[in-house]
Amino acid sequence: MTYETIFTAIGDSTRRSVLEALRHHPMTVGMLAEQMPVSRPAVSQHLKILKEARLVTVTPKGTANEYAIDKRGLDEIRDWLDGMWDDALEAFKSHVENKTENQAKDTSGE
Amino acid sequence: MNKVDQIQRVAPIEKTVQVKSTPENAFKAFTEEIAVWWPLDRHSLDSENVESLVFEAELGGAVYQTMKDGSTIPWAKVQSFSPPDGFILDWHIGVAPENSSRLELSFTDIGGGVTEVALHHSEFENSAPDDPETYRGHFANGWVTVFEDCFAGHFN
Repeated sequence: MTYETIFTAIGDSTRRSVLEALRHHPMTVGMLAEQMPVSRPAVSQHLKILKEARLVTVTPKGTANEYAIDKRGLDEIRDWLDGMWDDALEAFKSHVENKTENQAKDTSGE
Repeated sequence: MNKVDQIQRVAPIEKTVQVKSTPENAFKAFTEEIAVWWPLDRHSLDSENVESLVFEAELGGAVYQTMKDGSTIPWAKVQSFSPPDGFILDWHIGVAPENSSRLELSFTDIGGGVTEVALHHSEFENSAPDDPETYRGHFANGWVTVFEDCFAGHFN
């Protein structure tokens, strides 16, 4: 499980639509397919990817499976944002300090 | 669910970093030069097809990533711009601008040629409007809405 998996999962507009729909209430593949402009097998494939990213859970309900939002993947997104800022600020610091160093060299005529 | 509960659930992200630089240079580096240092390979949407990152360094300016096919993906809008003290962005990757979270950066000279850069990413709960119809209107646009809304405890 990586953040890349999550981002691949949410990088697709149909899958974002699926998540958005499930946000209101849990649904079966059939219910989702009625709302989406894609085929039922396509919806199933999208759900598989979302499940792998721990963005949805699946619960057997009679003869069908019911899908719902899984908070674990969402928690990881928040952690990802937190890590993103650590990473970004570190890269920022290197950039600024390299520049400051180079400017100092230029001024001193090195 | 009242507002206080939501705020407690959605902890702001707070970071500081000290850089050997003046606030002026640090501010300029963070804004105008963002494309030089931002780790796009690790931190962008659709990293295989991303090309660069643009920060329009002015009040009302946009922050967006550019794609190899010429398209763009918006990240943020400049809400407040006060060089070299700081700036505030409405952060809205993937959501409608009115559902933005708030990203504030400040640059403070702490002496000895060092500037402290403080980052405060907050108000995630603001991106959860009460009206579900509003969400349907934004149907295809957002993982951030989904994530923030769930954090705010609105789902179930």
